Amino acid sequence: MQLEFSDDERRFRDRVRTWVSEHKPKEKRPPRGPAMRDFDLGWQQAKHAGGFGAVSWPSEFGGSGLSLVEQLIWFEELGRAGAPGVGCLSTAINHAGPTLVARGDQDQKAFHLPKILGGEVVWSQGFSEPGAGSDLGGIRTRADLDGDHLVINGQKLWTSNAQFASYQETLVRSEPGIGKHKGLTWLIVDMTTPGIEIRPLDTIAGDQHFSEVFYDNVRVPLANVVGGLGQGWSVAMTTLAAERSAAGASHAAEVAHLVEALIEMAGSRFGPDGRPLIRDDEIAARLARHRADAAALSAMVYSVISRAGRGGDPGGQAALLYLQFGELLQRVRATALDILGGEILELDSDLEPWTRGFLADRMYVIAGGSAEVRRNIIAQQILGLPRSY
Amino acid sequence: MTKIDILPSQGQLEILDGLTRALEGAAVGAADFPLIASLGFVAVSIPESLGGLGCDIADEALLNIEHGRRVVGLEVLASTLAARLAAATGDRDLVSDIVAGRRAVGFASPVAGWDPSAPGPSGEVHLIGRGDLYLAVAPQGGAILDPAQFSDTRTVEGMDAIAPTFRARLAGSPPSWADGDAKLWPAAVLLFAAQMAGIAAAAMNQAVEYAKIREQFGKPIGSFQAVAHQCADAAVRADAAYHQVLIAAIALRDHSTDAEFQVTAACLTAIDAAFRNSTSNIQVHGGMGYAVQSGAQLFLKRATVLRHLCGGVRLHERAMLAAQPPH
Repeated sequence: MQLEFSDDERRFRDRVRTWVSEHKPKEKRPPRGPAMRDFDLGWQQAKHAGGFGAVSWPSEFGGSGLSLVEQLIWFEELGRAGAPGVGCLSTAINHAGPTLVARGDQDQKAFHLPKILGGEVVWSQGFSEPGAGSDLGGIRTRADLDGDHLVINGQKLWTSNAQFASYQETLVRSEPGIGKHKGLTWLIVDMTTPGIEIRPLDTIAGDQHFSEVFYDNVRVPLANVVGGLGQGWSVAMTTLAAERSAAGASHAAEVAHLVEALIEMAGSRFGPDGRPLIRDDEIAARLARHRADAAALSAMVYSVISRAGRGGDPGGQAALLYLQFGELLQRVRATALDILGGEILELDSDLEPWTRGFLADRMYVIAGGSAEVRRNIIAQQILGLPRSY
Repeated sequence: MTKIDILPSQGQLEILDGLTRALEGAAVGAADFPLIASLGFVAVSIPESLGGLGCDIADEALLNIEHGRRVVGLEVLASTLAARLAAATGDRDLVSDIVAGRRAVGFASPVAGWDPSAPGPSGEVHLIGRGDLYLAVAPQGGAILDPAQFSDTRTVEGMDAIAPTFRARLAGSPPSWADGDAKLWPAAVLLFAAQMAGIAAAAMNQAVEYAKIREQFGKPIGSFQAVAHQCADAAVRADAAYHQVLIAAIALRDHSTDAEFQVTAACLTAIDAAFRNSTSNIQVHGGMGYAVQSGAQLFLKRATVLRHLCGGVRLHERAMLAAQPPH
């Protein structure tokens, strides 16, 4: 039982703290549109120039080559400074990039990884479909072999930032009728290919984070297949594992920052009795619990890192962590409503991270496996309970 | 070389394994103070010069997670804390008596809170456990009370399913709060949290195992999401409490500046996990959970007693907001 940062790690934290305070964007992140995309690309370019372009990638692929502990420090410091996350580059940095690193061929890596790192491109994720949400095995978008191309027909849904994306990681059914998780293929799709139609959806957060994407005889070269024809499910699971483990540290740091910011806010805002809200017993009790829960979430992150350091598989731990994060975030957002008072009625004020954030963060109990699916995974894979309905 | 590994070390796992092997076959609630003391697992963090094992507070926390799982006699924790206080205040005889199992200590708990203006414990108390002595513990320190200091002592039907419970009045001039350099309160809060984290894990496990074998409507009840999801939520709470206890134990052992923050967070997390996991265990057991024979009651009742003895939710909520966060 050891929790002691080495001298090098302490120096690394100091360096990150200084770098973040000097380079984090001064202006507010635009909530939508090309301005939002440009903001996210600009922040990525700044991080890349500073050597923090992709902290979880190995250095031979242009990543920062940081240890798990250094990655943790990086995310803790970003959270502490309230610096923005990767925004619409999440798919590129956290899903597509790590998948290409693990399963892509030399040409795919050489072409795509530098563009992602340098903040040149947005990627979107084409996994979910109208009939394949939480049950991803229900994918029906078809890919038929035609010479050295696959021809794609079908529809994706809940595609993040499709309208800004240059590329999409797309899961298609290349061999139907051999089983839910068999016959799938993971493809890199150039979004400028003829036959792709994007219809953005308006969300509760007042943005167009998600789109429907339609594919009408979209021709994709076989060279864009990652991990081999029919290997899509195993390639996609690589992606989800990367999503969960890299996200854990970041999520815990973000929620701790929200709680600390809320405690500060409760000291300078006033309740119906004219006293600072932090003096309100109910508010104080809730904030105290959020603080304890955020601490425990961070403890779960340290557990994941400890297990990985011993060469173990932190997968189960990550599933527990992600459910805890999603649920805690909703409780913190609900407490914020009682502290914001009338400010909650205006979405685009200086308090936008709180007002729009309240709506936007509902995503974290739905996306990446809904809270219910996460409970199913915990029950079956960790607790050994039978499949439940 | 990085030293971020919060999980128990090989040496610590061996200590825990020793306890597990010694208690193999003992039912939940069956291991009492004389047994645990005879095995050498009471007050392990007492220095070897005083007859203890010279373990640290983190080792002690790990053992108390196991004690919580097994709902061992409450005297084990009270005696462990009393030995810590006695060691810090120079009462070597009491230390050696406790470590050797010659004298057992129970908890003395105020019926309506300790009088904050009094120099020591006073008034109406509950005495919990079969003690030769009773330990009162509070943020200002501890006091070891002799039964001669109690009057009007009578047996009551206690909340705890195992520990005998009495009600009494503190008479005469009981000792003042003392601490020496025991740092008794943070150590007590950590070990209460450790036991509650153990209860949370054991209650969750009992619910899961029952959900696998109990059949209704032709299926194991664990194949219904209403049951499976309760188990998953319990697993999350047990995991959060366990790891926060580890972080808190490390912080207290290493005198970290955020020790109070981490210990308080551990206590709040463990209170919640122990209470909710032991109630959901009863719920998953249905009628059998309501009946004594399933044993589900042991966890809820002990969780309720520990929740009170550790100072209660409100005290720790206030401490949580007052504490200094890490970094």
